[in-house]
Amino acid sequence: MDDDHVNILVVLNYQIPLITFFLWKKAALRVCADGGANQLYDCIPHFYPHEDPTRIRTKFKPDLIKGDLDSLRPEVKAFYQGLGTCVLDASYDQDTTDLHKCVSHVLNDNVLSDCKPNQMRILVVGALGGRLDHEFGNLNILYSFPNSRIILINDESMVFLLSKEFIHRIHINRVNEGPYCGLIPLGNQAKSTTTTGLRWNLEGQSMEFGGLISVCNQLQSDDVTVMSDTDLIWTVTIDKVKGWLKESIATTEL
Amino acid sequence: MGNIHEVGNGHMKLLVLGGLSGRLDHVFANVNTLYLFPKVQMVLLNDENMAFLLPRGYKHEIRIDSSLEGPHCGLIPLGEPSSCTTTTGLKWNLTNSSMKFGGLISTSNRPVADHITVQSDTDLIWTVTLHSLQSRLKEQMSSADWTPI
Repeated sequence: MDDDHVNILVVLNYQIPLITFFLWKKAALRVCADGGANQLYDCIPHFYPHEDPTRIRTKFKPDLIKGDLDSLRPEVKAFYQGLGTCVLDASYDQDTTDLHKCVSHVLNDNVLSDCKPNQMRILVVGALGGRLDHEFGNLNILYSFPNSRIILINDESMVFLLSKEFIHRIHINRVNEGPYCGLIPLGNQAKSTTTTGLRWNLEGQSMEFGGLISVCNQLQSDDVTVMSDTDLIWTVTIDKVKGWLKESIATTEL
Repeated sequence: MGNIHEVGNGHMKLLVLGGLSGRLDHVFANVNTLYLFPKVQMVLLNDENMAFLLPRGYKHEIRIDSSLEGPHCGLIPLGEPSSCTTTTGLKWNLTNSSMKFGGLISTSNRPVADHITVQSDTDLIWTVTLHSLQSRLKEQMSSADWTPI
């Protein structure tokens, strides 16, 4: 997370993973998609039980709340607006999800001066688990913005798209990532995929639902390369971070 | 849930518990099993969701038990785009609509009838949320008579 890219955190309306509070500190902009603000408001005092709830909620104030706002509770809206959070009602658009609205806004509406979309890394928490239709809708966002760096992340897994346009070199931090990983042809059959750095590499094999998909694979190297004729979902486990996350959150000065 | 009473009539239905949570690659492996055995009636279940395959080429009639299922549902063209899907009984029906990852997929939809019909040129995943399941299960478990084996 510490490189030239600018991190933008998006919080969705599902259980907030512990890693949210680590990512919060790394983010230049913090956005809640509709009821993600409720989740933040409700959960943050539990992560810091010895702190005054109002004080800690103020410390973790989102910059923006956007969506159709059918989930955002009135008292949560009032609290954050009172602190200066921008609340944007996009209920006129019933064709896209709240996450789609937030990602589109971040990429297209000049949210950070001197930061172009290709410098951004959008980290999304609360996208995995919960309602299955929501989970697929969130994965669809990766396909809808294939030229953007968008990562879905929770305390167990990290997921992002590998666009078919590129040969990908994924640098693995093996302290935190792995050992398990997968390559999933979610949208289309992959006629030919080639990898290096995995325990079970692919050498031009085809992958499809109803046939082979690469699951329960394992990292064997610090660098994994992937080349395919179709967009693929890359998933890797990150549950190793739980070990130091709690301590990091507890000892961080607020 | 649906037509579970058919179990006694020689129709086998496989109910798979624990397949929709946890590691994402595991979830996809379990969903792939639905595609690998399209002729088997197999349902993936957890406390919040139920999912099964709607194989292409059939007009599927899905009965909704509204005491347990809903309010949200979805139709997902996993692994292959659909050029032509038609539904009835949903809040936002599809009429010869195309669906694909990177474009439209039907999520946050709602069943508005007891019977849903779906017809598509590709295999689709049907997913529906389950409500009140946790409280009903807790009630049943606390009143169950556990006979030691």
